[in-house]
Amino acid sequence: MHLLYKDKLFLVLAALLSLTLLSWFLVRFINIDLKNMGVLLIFLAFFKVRLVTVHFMEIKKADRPVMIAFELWVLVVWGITTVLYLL
Amino acid sequence: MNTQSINRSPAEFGMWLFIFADMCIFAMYFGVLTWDRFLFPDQFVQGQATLNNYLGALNTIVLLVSSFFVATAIQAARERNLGVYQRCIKLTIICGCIFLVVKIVEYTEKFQAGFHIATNEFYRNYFGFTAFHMLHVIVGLSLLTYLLFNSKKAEHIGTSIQNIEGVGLYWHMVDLLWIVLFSLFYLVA
Repeated sequence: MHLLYKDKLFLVLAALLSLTLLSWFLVRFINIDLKNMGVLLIFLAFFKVRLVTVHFMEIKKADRPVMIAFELWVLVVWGITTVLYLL
Repeated sequence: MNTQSINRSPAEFGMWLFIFADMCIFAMYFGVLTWDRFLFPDQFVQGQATLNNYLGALNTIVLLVSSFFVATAIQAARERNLGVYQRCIKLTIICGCIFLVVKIVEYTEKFQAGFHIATNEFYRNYFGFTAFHMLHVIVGLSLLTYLLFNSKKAEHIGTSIQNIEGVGLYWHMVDLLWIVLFSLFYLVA
């Protein structure tokens, strides 16, 4: 029988779903400063994006320039989005 | 199923380039969205309050699960496991269709409430960017359907493995873009 919990892809999915539920829970039930909440939510979103690029898209197996470009995209877009949000 | 390692780049370089270019376009959209939020904060607060968080979260979960199915389908394709491959592609297509139905329900709610793309800056961003994303979902579903009908035998998936990986990459891109859109539109105040 296929042991789902040992499957790396399933563990990544579980992490992604947990982070999604965590984000939703934070918005609905946790009362913290809106700006701090926004920064945290944007960070969680891009952390999930990186999980998808690394584990589902297998970016680390791609050619080096591709890997660097994608990693930079996540970093730069996260940074700029956060900075613009904090304006 | 054990994750099978490969000693080459998953998908062709051209596909990675296309995916990256599309992601850069969406990156500009994220910037425009966040800038417009800064310029029109009241519109964004009011507009966000009209969005259905439950449907947004459901769509996020649906796309995340579909990404898992696509990744599993690719693993099955590398192992020439036709049965699992076809099942996972079908499940991905079903998830994609659920996403479209939920999106149409959301849009219908908005239209019936009198909101449309020209209502204000929030709705211009919301309808514009989510509709463009939905177009990507439709293209992705077309590609997945092609893969499904092109996989009658295990040899077929063996010879077209990089095409399968390319379509998988495209679908993961659709998923990760929605992860950001969901956060920026539905969650971030």
